[in-house]
Amino acid sequence: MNEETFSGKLSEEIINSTRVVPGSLKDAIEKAAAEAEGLEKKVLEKIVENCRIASASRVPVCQDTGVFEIWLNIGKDASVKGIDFSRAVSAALKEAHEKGGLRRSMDPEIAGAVHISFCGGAAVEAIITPRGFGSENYTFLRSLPPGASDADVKEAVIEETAKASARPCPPYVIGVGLGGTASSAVELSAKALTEIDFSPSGLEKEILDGINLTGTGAGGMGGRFTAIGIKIKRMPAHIAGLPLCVHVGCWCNRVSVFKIETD
Amino acid sequence: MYLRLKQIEFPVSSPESLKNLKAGDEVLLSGVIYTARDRVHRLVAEGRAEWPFELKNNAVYYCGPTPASEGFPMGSCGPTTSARMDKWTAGLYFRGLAATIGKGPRNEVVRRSIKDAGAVYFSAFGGCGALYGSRVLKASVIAFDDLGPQAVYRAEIKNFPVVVGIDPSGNNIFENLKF
Repeated sequence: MNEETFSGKLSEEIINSTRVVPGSLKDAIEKAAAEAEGLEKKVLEKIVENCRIASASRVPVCQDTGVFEIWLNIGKDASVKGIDFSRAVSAALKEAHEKGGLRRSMDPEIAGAVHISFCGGAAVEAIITPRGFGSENYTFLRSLPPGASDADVKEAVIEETAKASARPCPPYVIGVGLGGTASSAVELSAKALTEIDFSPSGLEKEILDGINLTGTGAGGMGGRFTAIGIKIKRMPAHIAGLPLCVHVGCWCNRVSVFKIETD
Repeated sequence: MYLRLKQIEFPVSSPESLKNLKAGDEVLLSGVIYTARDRVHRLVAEGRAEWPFELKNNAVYYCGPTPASEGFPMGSCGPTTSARMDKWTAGLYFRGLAATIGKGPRNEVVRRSIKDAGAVYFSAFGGCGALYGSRVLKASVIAFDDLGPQAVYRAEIKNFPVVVGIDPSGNNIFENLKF
C-alpha cells in the first residue's frame, strides 16, 4: 500500500459515509416508524424517506457533512513505510470535499479529527464518522464521585441528555465514555457513537428506557422515541474520581469502516 | 381518515393567510423562501449589512446547504438548529416577517414576538437534507456569496413538509421541553 492508494480509498469512504447510513441504524428507525403513532410516526417516516432519497440520488443524508472523526488502527506488521498519514488524511479530506459535494463548514484540509492507534496484524483499518455540529454542540463532560453506582451513572446520563432539549435531531443515539481522564472520557464517548447498540441490555437498556420516559420524542415533538441506541465505553478510573462524557448524537449517526490488508 | 394537508405559499399576501395554522399541524410549503443562518443574522445585528430581501410577508429558512448536484439545485438542505438564531429573531417578526423555518424549540422571547405579529414558526424535519433538497426547484445565491454555505439563497420550493412549531396565537409544540 502506498500513500496515494490509502488516501484515495479514505476519500471514497469519507464521501460514502455522508450518503448511506449504517444498516443497523436504518433498521432501528424503520422499526420505530412502524411502532410510533401520530406526529412522531410522521417524523420517523420522513427520516426513512430521506435516507432512501440520499442513498438513491447520492446526495448527503444531512447537509451538515461535519468534521470527520477518523480512527486509524495500524497493524504492527503493516507495510506502511513512507506513508505520511497526516498528509494522506488532509489530501483525502480535500479530495472528498471537491468530488463529493461536501459542505465547506471549515477549511476542508483540516476538517478532520484523527486518532491513531496500533494493533496486531498487517492491516490498516479506518473508522470514519462525520460529526455534524447540531449534535456535537451537545457533548457534556462531568466528574462523578469515585464510588458512583450504576444508578448514579444512569441518572447523570439522563440529566445530561435532557440538556440537549431537542436541539440536535432526536431520536438520538447516545455515546457514553466513563473512566480514564477527562480527555479519554471524551474520546471514549465519541468512539462509542461508532459502536451504537440498537438492542441494548443491562445498564445501557435502563438508561435508554429512562431517556425515553422523558417524552421528548422524535423531532422533539413529543413521543416515546427520544433515543434509539446507546453504547457505554469504559476505562479504569482513578481512586478519587470518575470522568463521564455524554455525546448526544443525532439520529443521523453516520459511520463508515474500511480495512486494507497491506501484504 | 385522511385529511388534506394545509398548504402555504410564500410570500404570503398578508399575515391573514396564516391565521388557520395550529401548533402541531403538518403543512406543505411552496413558493419562494430565503436562507439565512448565524453569520448573516450577526452581520445585520451588528449594523454591518442590511437584509438583502424584503422581510415583510416572507419566510427565512435556517439552512446552510451543501453544493448543488444534478437534480438538487440547493444540494442537501435540511434545517439547522433554530435556537441559535433566537437572540436575533424578534426584530425580524417586528418588521413583518411571516415565518421562520428551522428545527427544534425557540425561546420565550421568540414565542411572544410570533404571537404579537400573528406570524408563525415552522419546525422542519431535522437531518432530512436529501428530502428537502428533492423539493427545491431552483436556487441562487443573492448575497454574501463569500460566506459559502452561510450565503443567502433564494429558493423556489415545492411541497416542503414542515410542522407548525409556534402558531400565530403563540401555542408552542415544544412547550414541555426543559429549555
